[in-house]
Formats: sequence, structure tokens, C-alpha cells
Amino acid sequence: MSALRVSQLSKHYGGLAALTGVSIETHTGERRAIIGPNGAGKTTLLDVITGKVTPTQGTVYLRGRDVTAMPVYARANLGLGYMFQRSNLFDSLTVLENVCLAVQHHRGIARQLFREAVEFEAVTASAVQLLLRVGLDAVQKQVASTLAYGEQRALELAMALATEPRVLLLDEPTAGMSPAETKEMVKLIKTLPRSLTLMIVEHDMDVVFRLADRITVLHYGEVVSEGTPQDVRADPTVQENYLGAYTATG
Amino acid sequence: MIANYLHDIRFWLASHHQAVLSAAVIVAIVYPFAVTTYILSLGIEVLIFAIFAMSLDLLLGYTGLPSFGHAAFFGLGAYILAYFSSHSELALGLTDNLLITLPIVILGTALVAVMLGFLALRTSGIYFLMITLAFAQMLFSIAIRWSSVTGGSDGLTGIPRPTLGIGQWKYSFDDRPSFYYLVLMIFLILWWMLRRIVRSPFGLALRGIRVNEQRMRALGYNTFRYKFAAFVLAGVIAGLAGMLLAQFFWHAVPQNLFWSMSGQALIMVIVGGAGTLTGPVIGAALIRLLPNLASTYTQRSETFMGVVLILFVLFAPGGIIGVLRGRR
Amino acid sequence: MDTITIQFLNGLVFSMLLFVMAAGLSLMFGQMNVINLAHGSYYMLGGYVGLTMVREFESFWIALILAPVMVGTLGIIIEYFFLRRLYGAHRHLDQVLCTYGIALIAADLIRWTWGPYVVAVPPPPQLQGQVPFLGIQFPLYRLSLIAFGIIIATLLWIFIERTRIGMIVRAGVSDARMVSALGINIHFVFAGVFALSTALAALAGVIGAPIHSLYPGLDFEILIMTLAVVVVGGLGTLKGAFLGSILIGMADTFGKAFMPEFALFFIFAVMAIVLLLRPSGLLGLQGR
Repeated sequence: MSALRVSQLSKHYGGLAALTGVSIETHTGERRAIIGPNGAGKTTLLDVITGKVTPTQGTVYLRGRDVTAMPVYARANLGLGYMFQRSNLFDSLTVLENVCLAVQHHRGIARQLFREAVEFEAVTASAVQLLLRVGLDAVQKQVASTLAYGEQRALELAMALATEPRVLLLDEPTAGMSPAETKEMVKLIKTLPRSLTLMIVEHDMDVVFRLADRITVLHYGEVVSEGTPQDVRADPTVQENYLGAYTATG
Repeated sequence: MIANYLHDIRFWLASHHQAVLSAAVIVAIVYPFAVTTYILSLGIEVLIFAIFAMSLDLLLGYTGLPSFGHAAFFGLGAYILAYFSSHSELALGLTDNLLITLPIVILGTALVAVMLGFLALRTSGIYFLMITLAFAQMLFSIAIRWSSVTGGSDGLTGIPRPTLGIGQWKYSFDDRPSFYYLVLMIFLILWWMLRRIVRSPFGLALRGIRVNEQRMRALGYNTFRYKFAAFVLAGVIAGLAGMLLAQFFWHAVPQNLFWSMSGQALIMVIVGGAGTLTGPVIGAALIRLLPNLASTYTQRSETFMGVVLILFVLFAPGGIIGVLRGRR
Repeated sequence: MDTITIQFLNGLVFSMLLFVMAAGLSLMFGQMNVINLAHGSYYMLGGYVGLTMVREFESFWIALILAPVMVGTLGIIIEYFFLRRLYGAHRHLDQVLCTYGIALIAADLIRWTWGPYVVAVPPPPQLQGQVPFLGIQFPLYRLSLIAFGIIIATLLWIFIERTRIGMIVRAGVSDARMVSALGINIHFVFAGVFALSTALAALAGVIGAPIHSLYPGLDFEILIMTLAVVVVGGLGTLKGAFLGSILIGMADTFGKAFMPEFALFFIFAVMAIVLLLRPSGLLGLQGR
């Protein structure tokens, strides 16, 4: 059973074909990178997988289940996590509250009406654990909008992990980060367990080659190449169209 | 300069938290004995509208649902109570016992809230605003047109003060002081209840929905259910306020449903401070009391309210509480 | 059959008024994502100002031109001093609340200036009386209102769909920042749309006054109807405003003629059904 599988996905917006016949299959624990130039359909692909967008054709399978017709929240509850590309946090809430929101739902506590949230120590404890993991425990009480950019991305990751997903989509996790911040993020991602399957959309080739087990290359909404990093690097069409002046360093 | 002054007030209030609260409670308890009948009536009125405003705060301030039709439930509560208790020919006049009327009001408003919420919550933002406004107007038009049941534009009169009890042990809230204590008690219970709710995980979820609903869904929340629950809860509490209003003024009229009533509640929440629960209480006091004061000087109280609203929206969007807190 | 024709024509009259209102409201919403709750107030103000113009200059035609211009100017002033401070993604509700405050002030000041009683406004002498039309006698003024409405609808359509300015307005509907990035002063566009919207409302008020008279509370009544139109027809498009106004105008007129107790209820039932099936209206912009 694959962790995440999309089959013959197509998405047309009027005359524009954002995705055509895209099929991707990842096995459990795999780190799959999706690369391609801007407009290749990477964002649309993620949107279809999360459920934000309904495909014109094709199916999405999450751990063997057809989720194509399911709304966003239902897929999240089936173990699909998502780290947003631009920080999509709860700006006016504190860092701790942000993560608690994620944890409390996962623990089924969110519907509790009559007991104060602070009484649920298990929730707070898990949240603090997660913050420790991403290095944000010191800023727990800070309002999310006051965090530095790199810290906000770390919080993004923490929230995505808080729901204990089985499949995690990372939408350009290192976008807009300095080299130092990028290094930290890559380190963090490397610590994620192999029980978790990752699908990473990335532009930074360094990051891709450091993290990916397999790479899928999208171009104009179609899969033009797929394979191990070595395979893809050696593929002449990919080199020509996309990697361009990239010289592998490792 | 003013900022320093406010900071000092804030500091004093924060450090004398318990004392202030205790003082407020004592004042509330001895109130009927210390003031004239007229001032007592004002106090009852303020408490009733405070309940109404708090319920709207749950909806708007915490969940982020801009309802412009909340008076629908306020008036509905009044009419349901009126229909069951009033001695006029149009109504049933069955009982004034709270043991019966209270559950009926709760059930009635909950039912309507479920129906309206199911429809209105399919929309959000501006659309939700328009829909709630339209639905409230629909109820208003029913109240005006269905004269045989609602008494038309005159409404239903002859509503007695409530009683409470079974068989021999029946207490009647006939005189003003005892009715005041009834209203105060209900206010305190609802205040306590709402406070717990907004601090609960459910309350946190509502706040999350207000700040970023899309993110909540990505986290797995079925946001519709949460909004729905908040909507029904807010509607029922508003209905309870309406019930008390009808019992206090001995009548239920279409004006209770009119958009200006919804608008007034909104002003109370905004001026007091949305999302704070205390703010709307202060707002209710201000909005009910100021026109009384102002009317001795001018007839233009509506203009005054509009100006106040605009000033707060432009310069103090966090309301009075926001100003005291240093405008967050 | 005659009754049907009469009600049909009456319905068209109301639909035209509603269309002009809804077009203005829709344009504003498309541009700034704001519902102007004072829109009905501008309608009423237009009517009362028009009345004063008629009394002063003894000419309906002068009123027809001056009233919208004056109210439109007021609109620009309001936009500049109040709404402009509240532009920004998360302040839509604040803008709406601001317009609500304006509506409160307007209603009170109008009542103070012109009094709380119903004021009848006569149609211009050239358009008084009845004429034969489609086999019945029908008031000439109402017929001319229908014609006028169609003219306005056509002019608006040409403006929005066929002119450069209209294109900018339409572009602003989809992406205000993009328009701004193109070097076009977005504030001018907003102010312009606001002025046009309020002027349209005032114009509708002037021509509507002879039909239903002027009285306090008119502002809210017309606002609620306009809201029903945009909910049903869809916000942001002229076509939606047109379709919605026909539907609501007819529903209200026929409802009042044949089932007066349930007329209003019927309209809201239509709203509810549309909401259930297509929350953004029959022809509205999706996903705003």
C-alpha cells in the first residue's frame, strides 16, 4: 500500500491546463521531492492533494483510501499534514496557543466546552515538546506575528507535526530563508521519523539533493522525469530545461 | 500623557483585581436598596442588554461571525415568552412559571437558530452579514404581518412577571427588587458560563476560526460544526435576554426584532470591546444610559451614536477595553 | 389578464429602481469588498434633495441632474475622510461598521431636516397622467421610468464592458494590487467607484420618489431589498444585479398584489433557496 498516490490527475481552469495526467506514487517513509519551474503545476498538485482544489480528472489516494471527494478537514484527520508555503499562522495568538490548537484537535479535546484549556496539561505538555523540537520553546508566550521569519517557518512545521500526520506535504519549506536558517530547517526535516512520508516541493536544489530519495520533475503540468537524484541529474532533458547552470556539489 | 494616565488606571485595576470584583458584587447586591425605582429599572435594563451583547460577542468577537441580525433571537425570545405567558386574547396565557417557560424559550430559540444557522453559515464574511440581516428582517415582517398571533405592530401585551416553583412553593418575582435579583442571577450564571466556554479548548478553537479558518481546516477541524454550535448558543442566550425583556416591560413588540436593535447590540460590542466579554457589558451600560443623559440636551441621540461608533471604529477598534489594555 | 399586465409593469418599475441600486452596491463590493450599509441612505437623501431642488427651481429635470451630483460629491468626501483609513485585508468589517454609523447619522439628520412625515413628490408635469399601453391604461411616469432604467443599464454596461476606465474597474474587481502595480492610482479608482455608486443611488432616489413618496425608514427598506437582489443575483457583476433585480422586483410586486401577508416572507424564502444552492448568488463572482 502506498502512502500517497495520485493517479492521472488533471486540472483545467477554463482553457488553461494546470495539471495533465499526473501520476505519482510514494511508499511509506519515502522523501519525495517535486521540482519544476514556476507555473509547472507544483502548487496546484499540492492543492489537489490537500483538497483545496477539486481535480477535473483523476484520483487521490491517501494510504490506500480514495480521498478525492473528501473535504480538507477530513483528509487532515486521515493523517495528511501540510506545511504552508507562506506563513499561515494564527497571527494574533501566542506561539503556544498556535500549537495547542493543533494538538487539542488531534487529541479530541477541542470539543470540551466547560473546562478551561489550561487544565488540559497533556495538551500543553505535548505542545511544549513540539516547540522544544523546533527550537521555539523560549518564545512560547510571544504573539505569532512578532516572530522572525525563520521562527515563523519553524512554527509552521511544528503545527504541521502536531497533528501527528502519516503523510506530510511541505510547500517550499526553505522559501525566503537565509543559508543558516535553511541549514537548520534541513536538519529538522532530517530528524523526522521514517514512519512519516514526506512530499517536498522545493526550488533550492541543494536542499532537494540533500533530502530526497526520489524526485519528480514537473513541467507545464506534466511529469517529465522521475527517479533517484542521480537519475534526474543525469537526465539530459531535465538538465537542459530546468537544472540549467546547476552544478552538483554533493 | 493620556497614555500614562491610562497605564496607571490599568495597573491599578490589575493589581486590585479581587477588590474591584468584590466591590462590584457588593454594589450589585445592595443596589435595589440604595437607589430610586427609576435607577433600579435602568440597572435591570442594562443587565438584560448586557446578556444580549455578550451573546453577540461570542458570535462576533470570538468566532468572527459578523451577524447583523442578532436581534432576531432577542425578539424571538420575547415573543415566545409573551405567547406562553401573556393574558391577552391572542396569546395562550398558559403559565408564567419559569420552570416551564424557560425551557420553552430555550427550545424555541434553539430550533430557529438551528434552521437559520444551517442556512446562514453556508456563507461567510460579507454574505453572512447580509443574510443575517435579511433573516432578522424576515422575522420582523412576520411579527408585523401575522397579527393574529403576534399582535401586529402593537405586539403582545399583558405579560406578567414570572414565578418560580412547584405547587405550594411558588415565588413570584412581582416587585421590582426581586425581579432585579432574578435578572442579576441569570446574568451572573450566563457570564460565568460564557467565561468558562471562551477559555475552554472549544473557545480556543472559535478564536482560531476567527483568526484563520483555512488553517483550522488544514488542522482537521470541521469548522462548520464549531461555528454552528457558537451560532446556536449565541442565539439561545440572546433569546433568554429577550425573555427577560418581555417580562420586564410587560410586552413584546416588533421593534425588538428590528435591525436597529441588532445594530445597537453591535455598537455595544464594538464600543465596549469585541472579544473580551467584559467589554460588551460596559458597552451595554453606556449605550443604554448615554441616550438618557443626552436626551436632556439634544434630540439627536441617533446621530450621537453613529458618531461614537465611527470614532471607535476609526481610532479605537478594540473598544474601551482595548483602550484600557493599551490597544491590542 | 389586465391585472397581470399591470403588475408585470409595476414589477418592472421596481426592478429598474432595484437594478440601479444593486449595480452601485455590486460595483462597490467588487472593488473594495465592502457592503455600503449607507447605500439606502444615499437613495433617500437623493430623493429628499431632489424634492428640495424641485421646490427651489421648479424643475424635476434640474433635480435629476443636481441631486446625484451633490450626493455623489458627498460620497467622495465620506470616502476620503472615513473609509480610506480602513483599507486593508482585515478591516472589511470595520468599513461596513463605518458605513453603518454613517447610515445612522444620515437617517437622523435627514429626519431633522425634512421632518418625520410622509412627503409626496409629484412627477414632472410632462410625464403625468396615463397612457394606453399593451391594452391598458398605465401611468406615463412609470413607463418612462422603465425606459430610463433600461437606458441606464445599457450605459452602465457599455461603460463597464467597453471602455478603458471600465476595464480598470473590472480589473480592480479581480485584483486591486495588480491594478495598483500597473501604475494606476488605485485611490482614484476607489473614490471614483464610490462616487458613481452613491450618485447612482441618489439618482434612483430621485426617480423613485414620485412612486413611493419619501419617509423615514425608506432608507432601510430599500437597502434590505437591494441586499436581497445582490444575494440572489450575485455580487460583483452587472448581469447578476440585473437578474436579481428582475427576480426580486417581480416577486415583491406580485407577492404584494396577490398574497400581501406573505410577500416579504416569500422574498426571503427565495433568498434562502438561492443560498442553499449557490451561496455566492446565481451569477455572482465565486470564491471571494
